[in-house]
Amino acid sequence: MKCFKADVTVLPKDGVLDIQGKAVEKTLKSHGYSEVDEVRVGRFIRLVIRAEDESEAGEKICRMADDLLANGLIESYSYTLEHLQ
Amino acid sequence: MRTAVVVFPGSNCDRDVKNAILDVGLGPVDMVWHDEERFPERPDLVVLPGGFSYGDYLRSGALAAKSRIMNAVRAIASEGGLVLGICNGFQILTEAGLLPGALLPNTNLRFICSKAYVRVERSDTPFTNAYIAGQIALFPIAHHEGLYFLPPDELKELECRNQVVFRYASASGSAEVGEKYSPNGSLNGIAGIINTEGNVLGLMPHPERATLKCLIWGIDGRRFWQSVGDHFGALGGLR
Repeated sequence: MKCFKADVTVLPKDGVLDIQGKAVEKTLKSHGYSEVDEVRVGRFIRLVIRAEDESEAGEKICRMADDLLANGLIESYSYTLEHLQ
Repeated sequence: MRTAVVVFPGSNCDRDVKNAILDVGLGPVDMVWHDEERFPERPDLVVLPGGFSYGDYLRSGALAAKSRIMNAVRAIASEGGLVLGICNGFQILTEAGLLPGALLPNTNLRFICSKAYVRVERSDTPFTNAYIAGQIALFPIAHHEGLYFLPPDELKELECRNQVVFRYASASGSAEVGEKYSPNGSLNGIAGIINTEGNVLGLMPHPERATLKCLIWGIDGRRFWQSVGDHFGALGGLR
């Protein structure tokens, strides 16, 4: 068994109203950051999990994300894995 | 008529629901902890009450939807028993997949504690048979994530199947409805929906807070509980 650090990022899907993102975008722009084109606000979740290898760790993360960490109707997710020594 | 009110850590309308149901003359009401595997006795109605289950961590209702008792709730629903989710209970039902859609943060990004006029769209459900379709009712609302969302195609289907039971209406109390009257930005002004089988209902407004005669925002919620009582023939003309 190996140990992995998984960083999961959950974001509102395109087409889903992201009120927080809009509010942050508006505030940034009003503070002079005119270069900002879009802001999305989501969630960052870090897990430490056990798995035989990286591919099994990935499968487990996807299962957890589909089951609980993200709501597939309104959110999408991505993740990165790091093998912990 | 036996009711079970599920109590999650962070529920805060559980006793309001019990009081409302007892006040219209329906009982008994069992309070059931979320970690139980089954109900003490088979309920005719299961209520998932409002509140902040699990502190709204992750997403409102997401953790509660995974509670042990939810397997029993699912079983009751699939056997045709009545399941009702109010406010956070509605969020739990969508997260559990017992109702379609999701509740997003209100468009003004604020917690809204207010009164809301809703139009009762259907009077042919076990929860609304004591109302007249098209009637306006006044219910309190209190939520931060109340914007009902479904992707456009699915929203169309929901409307086609006539699953919208409550819709936000003009504050003047007229029968006008629509998205512009959503205090929270809810799509199509949706305040409450029912499943296709007609036995699982979720709504953001609080009928239990408009039931006791001592409360300030009227008693339009009484008919909600009376509907359920009538459905089971439990009121016997008490109304």
